[in-house]
Amino acid sequence: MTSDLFDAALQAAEDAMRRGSHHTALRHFEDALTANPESAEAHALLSVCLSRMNRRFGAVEEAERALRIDPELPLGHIALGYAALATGDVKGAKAAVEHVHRLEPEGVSALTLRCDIALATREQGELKTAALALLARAPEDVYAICMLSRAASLGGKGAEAERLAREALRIAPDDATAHEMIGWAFFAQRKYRQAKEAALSALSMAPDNETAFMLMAASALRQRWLTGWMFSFALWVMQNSERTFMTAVIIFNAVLMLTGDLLWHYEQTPWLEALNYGSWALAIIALGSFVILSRILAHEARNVRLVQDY
Amino acid sequence: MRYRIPDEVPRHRFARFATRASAPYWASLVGGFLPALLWSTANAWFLGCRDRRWQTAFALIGYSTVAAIGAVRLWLYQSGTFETVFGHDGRLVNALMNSAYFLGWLVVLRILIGRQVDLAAYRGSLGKQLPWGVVLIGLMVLTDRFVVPAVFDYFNGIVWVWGPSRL
Repeated sequence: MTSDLFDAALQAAEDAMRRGSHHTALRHFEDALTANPESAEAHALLSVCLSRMNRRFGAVEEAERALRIDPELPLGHIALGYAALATGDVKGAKAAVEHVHRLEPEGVSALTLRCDIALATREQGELKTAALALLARAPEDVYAICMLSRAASLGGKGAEAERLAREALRIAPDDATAHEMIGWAFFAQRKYRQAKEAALSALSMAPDNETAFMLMAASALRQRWLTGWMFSFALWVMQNSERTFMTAVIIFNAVLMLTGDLLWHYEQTPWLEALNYGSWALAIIALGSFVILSRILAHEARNVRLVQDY
Repeated sequence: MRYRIPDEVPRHRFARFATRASAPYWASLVGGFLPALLWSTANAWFLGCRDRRWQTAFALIGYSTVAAIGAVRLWLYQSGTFETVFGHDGRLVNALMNSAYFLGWLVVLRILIGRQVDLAAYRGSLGKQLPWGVVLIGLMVLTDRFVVPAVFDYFNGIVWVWGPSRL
């Protein structure tokens, strides 16, 4: 009886995850784990579900629970890999892929995680290889087609990326990833209006999708051909995270200090003063562009709507 | 009893003391590098970074290396070696070495903070934002302005121990 309850709840949870209804899936996982708290598979699936909801601490804890019960469960290692990737531990995620590949050479879950790692690290060649391997094992897999499309757009092959993304949209018209991919394909071909529409479509289905938001931001700025360039630095920093900003500060400081040292040594006082005031002015302009860009993007993001035909 | 899915809260001791990852980096520009480095290392533990031991070791090695550059520069400057070897250009070499010392500190802090940014941003997205540690920055500035110069009177060379500040 308990076993039937467990099986039904786990099946319902998996179905809900497949539909993207993660909150509903959580309720079914609770039912399944109440019936059988020692199921490593249920803990691992719950961890993957939590990773997709970006609940990182819970995802790590559930993956570790799964592996404590069954240390050789491939799904447990996949769950730990996703949890590691979510916390920025690319090395840990790659180790999970290797481990699962050894345990389950024909499985597709390791390849899906491999695609996600390559996408996170923007390794175009690796993304294409992993997506092709995934497609060979699951020919109608929308995710694999989407990843191939992204690899093509990263390589500047916009037309090929668009063809693949249209194929993915034919199979799954309501897939947020497919909409985002066709957006990147349009962006690679400089079709910025369509790229923004696709990004807004993806955001209408997945509001927390950061890469779709960046696509929307980049497309919106490219459309403003007269003023958009002023926000290039702010957008570049937004796309590349706070790390890049701090590195940029170091490079800026290095140029500033070394030039200042030379001007001071050769007693070029007017130039030294110009350098000092100029650097302050640049810093203020850069900070100001951040504030204005945030307002522009907040305004653009209000227009989310699903477009079915591009 | 019904199974309970883990709550989304950090499970490390002293997690409540964590601040934004970049706070020590910006604080170093106004309050000196040694306290910023100590703060950043402690923050790795407060945030619960997976590689917090690596970060601690890196901070120790980074501090030793950069402080050694500062000590060597100070010794070469005070002994007049720059002028002896490079003549009039000695003061330029001294200034360039001082800039390299300053940039070295920024690089060490940047590497540490780069490993904390993702986790800190995520912690900040869980309801209450992580603080900037304004009190700590204020204490650093006060120490840099009043305590360090007072100690400098008795111990010539404290600057390379503490690290320079730009304001």
